Amino acid sequence: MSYLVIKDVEKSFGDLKVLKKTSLSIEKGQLVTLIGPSGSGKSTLLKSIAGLESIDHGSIIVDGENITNKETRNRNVGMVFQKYVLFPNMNVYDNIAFGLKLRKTNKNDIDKKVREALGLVELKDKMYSYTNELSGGQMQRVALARSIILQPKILLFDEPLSVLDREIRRNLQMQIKKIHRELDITSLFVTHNQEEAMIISDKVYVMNNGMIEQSGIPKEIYYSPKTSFVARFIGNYNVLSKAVFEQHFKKNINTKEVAIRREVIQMTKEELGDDVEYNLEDCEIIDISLIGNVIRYETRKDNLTMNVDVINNDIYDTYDIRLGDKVNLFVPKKQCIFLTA
Amino acid sequence: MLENYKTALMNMYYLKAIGSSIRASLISSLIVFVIALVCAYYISKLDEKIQDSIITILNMRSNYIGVPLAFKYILLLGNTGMFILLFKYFGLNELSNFNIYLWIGLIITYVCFQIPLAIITLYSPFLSINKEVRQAAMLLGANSFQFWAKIGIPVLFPSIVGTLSILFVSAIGSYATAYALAGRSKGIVIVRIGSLVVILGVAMVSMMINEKLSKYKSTKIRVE
Repeated sequence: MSYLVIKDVEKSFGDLKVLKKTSLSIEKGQLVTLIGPSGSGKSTLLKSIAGLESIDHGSIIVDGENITNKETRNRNVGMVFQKYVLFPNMNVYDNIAFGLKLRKTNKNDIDKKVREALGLVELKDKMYSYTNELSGGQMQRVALARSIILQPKILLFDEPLSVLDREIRRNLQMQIKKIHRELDITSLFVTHNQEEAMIISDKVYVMNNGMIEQSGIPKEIYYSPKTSFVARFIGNYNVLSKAVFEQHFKKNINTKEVAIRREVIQMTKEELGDDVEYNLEDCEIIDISLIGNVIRYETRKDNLTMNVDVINNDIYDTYDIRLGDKVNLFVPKKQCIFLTA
Repeated sequence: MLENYKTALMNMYYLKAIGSSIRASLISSLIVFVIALVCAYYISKLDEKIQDSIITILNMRSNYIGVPLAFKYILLLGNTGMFILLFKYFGLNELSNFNIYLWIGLIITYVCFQIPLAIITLYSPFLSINKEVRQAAMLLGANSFQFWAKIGIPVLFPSIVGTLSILFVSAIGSYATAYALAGRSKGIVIVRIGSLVVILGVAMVSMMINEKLSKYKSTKIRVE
């Protein structure tokens, strides 16, 4: 049996059903990401595990124990919130020691553990600072230290990095990954950032409309989406309906939709050879966006819009591709993912 | 300077006024504090948009003070005030005998104008101990009592002391409302001070006029 088992959980707010027979399982020591758009029910699921929301139906089992109806404070579940949630009347040391003091832990043990936790989150120099003297990233690290010091059975992260800027977010992603590896705490991380999910997790659950759409290791989710939602949300795929695909690529297919990743499409102004199986000629460039290491070209042919991502290495500048130009697109057959759901 | 304090504190007339003012201000401050504490707590739990609207209205309302406020209460609860006439009409004799020009009237007015101000000052600290802070404490093992003892009350304490001080100072220092309701007949220290300032002001204006007139007179004599 898995370490955390969520079985057929249902939750409604009035007439709105937020969780619809949601089930998932996490092995001991795994760092699992729950990813989905706003309103997909991921935070509600997280709060249900923590006991901050009651559930209407289903069960939550941790380490073989059914905690569905257990009080929040007795669940031994840690949580880092999206907002900065530190106790404003306490300094960093007291914030981290709070849980241990409630458990009446020996003073020397508290001191030792707090210093260890501060070392892990690299905040030893801020031990006696108050919350208003800390940056956003530092506050989230204190919140993390405050949770891990109690050695919770499950550590929950409710989009803790979403309010931070890109650079700090990247550093903290690495820090969370490192701390997780060191402490081996079973963790569930909620995010709506695909890149974050890919970077930090052992396993990804994609959630949509209160249900799990797909689960798997990050590579599997990225390369083999099973539904058009997962393809669009995780991989930024071009998703073409059967009719549109057959009309433009002149090939018959047996599936409802086809997903093609932006970065696998090759773009050229030159003629394509006869041996090219999936090609699309005379597409007009309608938009060009520079996204750091990638240049994104939006192309259109009649009713079909295709996005193409190209590594920003000046090659396409040499080809002199400008707005309004006509280009030919080539899609390797093996890169087409035929979606059945 | 110390002589002035001695005079003021030895004079039974002033002492009585000081005592009455402190009593009225303390009573009104405590009543306001309890009401505002409950209101601020529940406002902080409402939807953010509703919170903003309520705080805007309270801000506006907290500036409605002085003579207009006293006049409003005279219209509502004065001898021929709307409510008094209604009480008489319905035969509620106990209530219809209410006299706003007594101390109780002054306390009611103080309470009404201070409630918005007190809610505004107590509302912010309640925001800093929001739902997530309570949830974080629960996840760390705190029960409700432990949360309030170790986080809630320590966070609120400076604001509680601050709000009580502001309420007391604002009540004891409120001149226009007190003067409009009580006039000079009541022993209210701020009205007493005000009347001394008015006497001093009249004396100063008289002296200035006298000086000008003297100068004019002497110039006229010299010309003649």
